[in-house]
Amino acid sequence: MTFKRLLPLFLVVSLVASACGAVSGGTATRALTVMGTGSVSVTPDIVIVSLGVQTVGPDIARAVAQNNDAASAVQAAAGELGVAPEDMRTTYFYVSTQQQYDEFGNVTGEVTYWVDNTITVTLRDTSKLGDLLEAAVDAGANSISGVSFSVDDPSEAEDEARQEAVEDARQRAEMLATAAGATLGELVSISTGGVSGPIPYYGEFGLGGGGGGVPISPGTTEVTVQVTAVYALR
Amino acid sequence: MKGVRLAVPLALAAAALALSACAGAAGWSQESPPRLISVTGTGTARLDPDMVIVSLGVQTQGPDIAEAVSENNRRSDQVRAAIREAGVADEDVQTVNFSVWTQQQYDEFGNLTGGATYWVDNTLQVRLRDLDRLGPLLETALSRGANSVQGVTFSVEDPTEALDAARVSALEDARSQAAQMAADAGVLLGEVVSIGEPGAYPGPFMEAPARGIGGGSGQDAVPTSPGVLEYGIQVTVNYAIR
Repeated sequence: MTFKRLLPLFLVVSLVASACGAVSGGTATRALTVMGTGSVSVTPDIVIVSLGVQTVGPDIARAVAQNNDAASAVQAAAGELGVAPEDMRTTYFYVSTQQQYDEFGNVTGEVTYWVDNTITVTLRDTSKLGDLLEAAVDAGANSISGVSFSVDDPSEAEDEARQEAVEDARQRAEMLATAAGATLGELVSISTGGVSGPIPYYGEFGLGGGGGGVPISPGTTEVTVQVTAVYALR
Repeated sequence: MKGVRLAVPLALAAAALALSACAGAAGWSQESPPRLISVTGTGTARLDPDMVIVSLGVQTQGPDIAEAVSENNRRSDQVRAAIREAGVADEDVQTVNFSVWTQQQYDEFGNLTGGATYWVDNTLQVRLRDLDRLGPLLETALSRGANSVQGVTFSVEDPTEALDAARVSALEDARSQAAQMAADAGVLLGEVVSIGEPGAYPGPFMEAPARGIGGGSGQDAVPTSPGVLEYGIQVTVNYAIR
């Protein structure tokens, strides 16, 4: 009687014990986790800038026509400075309507139209940026923004930065292991923690100034790679 | 029936006992030993800045866009010359903004008058390595046409060595914390099981102005103080309990 009734108890205990054994059966690994960083400075080979034309007026057809003329002239000016058609993209075009009001705040019925046409240009000869800006203004651009130097193909710089980051991580791991009185073992895992940049950094001076355009300094671009490495400790 | 009623709570109690014993042994993941002391040590590095980053901009405006641009160009050239005269290397200067913005003019009723004002901005970012020259550079740049200065940021170009030293002292801090806890708890401190840095790559988290620079460079200088940059490193260490 007693044994029969205690059977469920034994079942439960043995079940839990076996589950328990499965969890604690592994061997312990002693580990060290470090982050490594590598950065490479690259001279930018492209610059991106937005060149916009805004026109305003009471006659929508006229405002659009004026805008078209100026926007065409801006594109032509960019083309003359060697910008290929595939490096010019219309990134913004809008027409908006603004009501006019009298002194009592009532709508007069007259309307003002706003027209904006903006192209984003990738200039591959960065030394011509000063000339491009000057020519764009002469052609009718009245809304310019986002002078941004960059690298067209950063993959080579990224490889170099990645290699630097791995080496940085290994050196830091060795230093920490030694300081902790342990010996660095084999690499358990390594992963990239993301590539940042190219971001505008500091750079070379004074290109384009000689052309009589807008004074421009293109600078260099920084490509940074971070890795996280786990090493075994012995 | 009576026996069954007794057996069920007994079974539950036994299971709970077995589980708690199990949790003691297997509460940690498979890779870790069951008994650990976990501590986070802190190390700091205090460094004198060796460079300063500042943005110097020229803003011009006017009813004639061509005039506003050419006036801006003229003044930007002079600011650039001032930067060069301050001994800043060519690779430490970059154009970070050039913009033209059209502002329509309104009458007192909020209606467009047809007139416009054009705003032109040309901004350079400068990395100055001779900190003594910051005050004079700001003064000269402003007197030559710069009218928009932003972000005087002191920093250290390569803090790696100092940060590694801070890591070692963070490890030492962790070890002494662990030793104290082991002694307090009446156990023996075992070997290091894991070491890791909880955070990402650190930046200076505090700027403590320590000494003034620039004030002594003559009267034509903006007074500036680089201070000291403090970097904090945290290291988390797990020790085995013996």
